[in-house]
Amino acid sequence: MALEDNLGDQLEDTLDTFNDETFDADASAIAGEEYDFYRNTVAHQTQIQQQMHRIGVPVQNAASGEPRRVLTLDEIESHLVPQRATPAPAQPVPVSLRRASPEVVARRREERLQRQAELSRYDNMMSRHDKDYIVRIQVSQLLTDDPAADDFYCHMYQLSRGALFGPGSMQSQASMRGGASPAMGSDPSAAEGSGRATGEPNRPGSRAALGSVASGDPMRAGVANEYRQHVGRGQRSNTQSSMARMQQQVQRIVNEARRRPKASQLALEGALGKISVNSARNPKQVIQVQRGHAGSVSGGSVEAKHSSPGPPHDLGGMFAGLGDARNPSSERRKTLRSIESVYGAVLRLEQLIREQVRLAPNAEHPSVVAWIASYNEAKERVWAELEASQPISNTYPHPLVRFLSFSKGKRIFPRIVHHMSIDQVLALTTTVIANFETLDVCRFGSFSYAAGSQIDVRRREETDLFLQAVMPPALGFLAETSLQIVNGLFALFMERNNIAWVARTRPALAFLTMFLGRTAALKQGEMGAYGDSQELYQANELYGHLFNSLRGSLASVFPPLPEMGQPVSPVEDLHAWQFLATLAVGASVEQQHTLVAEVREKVLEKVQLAKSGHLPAELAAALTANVNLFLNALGLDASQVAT
Amino acid sequence: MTDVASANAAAAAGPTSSFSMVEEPLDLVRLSLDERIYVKLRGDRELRGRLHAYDQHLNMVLGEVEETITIVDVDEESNTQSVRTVNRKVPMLFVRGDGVILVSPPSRAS
Repeated sequence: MALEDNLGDQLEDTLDTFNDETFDADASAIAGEEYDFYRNTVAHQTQIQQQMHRIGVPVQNAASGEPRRVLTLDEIESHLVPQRATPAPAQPVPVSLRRASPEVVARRREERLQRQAELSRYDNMMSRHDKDYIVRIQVSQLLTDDPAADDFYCHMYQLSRGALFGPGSMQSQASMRGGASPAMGSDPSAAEGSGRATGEPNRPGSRAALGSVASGDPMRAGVANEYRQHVGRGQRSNTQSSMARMQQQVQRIVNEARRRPKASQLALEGALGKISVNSARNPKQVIQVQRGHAGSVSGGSVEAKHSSPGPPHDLGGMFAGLGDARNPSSERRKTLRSIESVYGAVLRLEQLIREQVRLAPNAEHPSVVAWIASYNEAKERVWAELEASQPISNTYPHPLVRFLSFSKGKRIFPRIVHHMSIDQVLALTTTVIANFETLDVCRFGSFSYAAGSQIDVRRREETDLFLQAVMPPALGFLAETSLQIVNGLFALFMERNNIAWVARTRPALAFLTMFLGRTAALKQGEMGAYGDSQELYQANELYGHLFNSLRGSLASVFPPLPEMGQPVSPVEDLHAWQFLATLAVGASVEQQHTLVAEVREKVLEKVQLAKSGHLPAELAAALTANVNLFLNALGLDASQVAT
Repeated sequence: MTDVASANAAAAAGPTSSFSMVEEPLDLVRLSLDERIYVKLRGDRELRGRLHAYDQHLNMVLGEVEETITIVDVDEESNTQSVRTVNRKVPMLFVRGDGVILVSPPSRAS
């Protein structure tokens, strides 16, 4: 609505010098060249000096003959802050920064006040009621039914920035889709940041607005946050009160809208047509696009193919197991398609979880039934794509392994596990263990430190991602389960994989460490329950078997040494030392002797390196700590090592 | 990866739509999400980067991008042409779909 205030007409054209520099400038002199900041600064020195006076920045005396310094932003700010806070300078100002004289100061101040008075002559034209009215209209256009879905990206962005600034005071109830550790870690590739990471409900750290944003309304949070950002210093009380008012507004409007849902189309009585009400959510369409018929026809046929009883990629018969070799690119595409399908299903699951809050409380309500149905359907979908119910499959490699060979597959793994039942997690872990050798991270083997090589960098990243995303759910499951299952999985691991070869890789070592550690913990903790039972016996058997397979190649669990001149990082062999330590815990005397004999070189080398003094203190300490992990398990200590 | 942790814009699907894999050409682009791709643009430009997001106009968000501009210099006196390429690297880039000619997985050679 146009404001009929005629304010513009009341200003004399000749007095309006605001835009002269722009409108009266010579276009031909400017066009085609880059703006020469220095020249223009020098040319407008006096003007700039005046402006700086006005805002209170101390200016060097032009007559002093010193070369003018262009003050950096920091310096200007540091001058401004004391100006605003204390009207009179508290400390003696150095000579070069002192202003000209008290009369000039007074004159300038008067000018400033006059200008301010002129500018605010026409203030307060709108009453508070008017302003509220307009704000209400504008805000009502922004309202949505489903803030979590519609303002999704804004919300996620704020959550991720809020997490940077430390956990905020309010919790957001919307579950989060981005920003968990893989995406926010220190990896230099900014691109990966848009990673689809762990979704967890009620994660703290959202920078929600002041006041109660308990409904998780990101619009409110967004609007209020922006408001807060745009406000400069020193207007805090104004901001707070107007923000509080705005929030009351928003609250009122939200309640109104919830009570009376607005239709997107309006058809008045007796009118010959429908008017569609535009809002932010259904903007006016420039082109009408017909989707649906053409799309659904092809969609239907594809769906039929996908849900056919036998898995289409299992060619069966004499082609069993050759699926990969026959057409690698189509295999790849199939896997990618199944990954995307899983992503779609997981997103759906997460959206359903978000909506669960708003469901009716009684279980027979049709909406609840529908909700349960769609939730289960999505879960089934995910489960079907992973094919983990068949740990050993006809095709090589197993579909789950192929799934996990992509980094996006690894990333969504924890989110899948979040929704799965214990049995399903067991099945997943079993499958991973049964096919461990074929995992891409295992086939990389133990990589060298050569950080320059592109391939190695990628391998490292994939392995790290695997360790961060895929291992924790599996390891967590192992940590909670019974000895019988642990034994079973341990046996499966050793049976299906070539231990000596696989032990070079970090994930394998992690698994082995977990197996041994869990066995040890169970043995100690529940002595009474197990006693001489079958499980204990089996566990000991397995231990012996492991030891024997690794005998002779224990030193190879360590990653290869860095070349000369490259930094030695203690993190690299931590996993190896941990494994050896767990191995040592369960070892008999004889086995301990073997252990020490094989690993002695490594131990000596590390201890010598730590004591040599070439390394910074923390590095040396970390190295020693690692070695101690192992030595303490044997009852020894690094200090006992004679160098 | 760094703190640009916005959700992966599997924009074609979005959080609320169904997950049926309708086979239209754009769904093939969806398969390349988070993978390295090769994009050919108008103005003799090519991009190789990691696809983070796209939409129906083929506006794209690419990361770790390397742009190659091919320039043909015509020498006026001798009327000969010489072709040279200019490369630049950009960590994160938004491409307007208007200028996209094709999108493909990178050729195996690169």
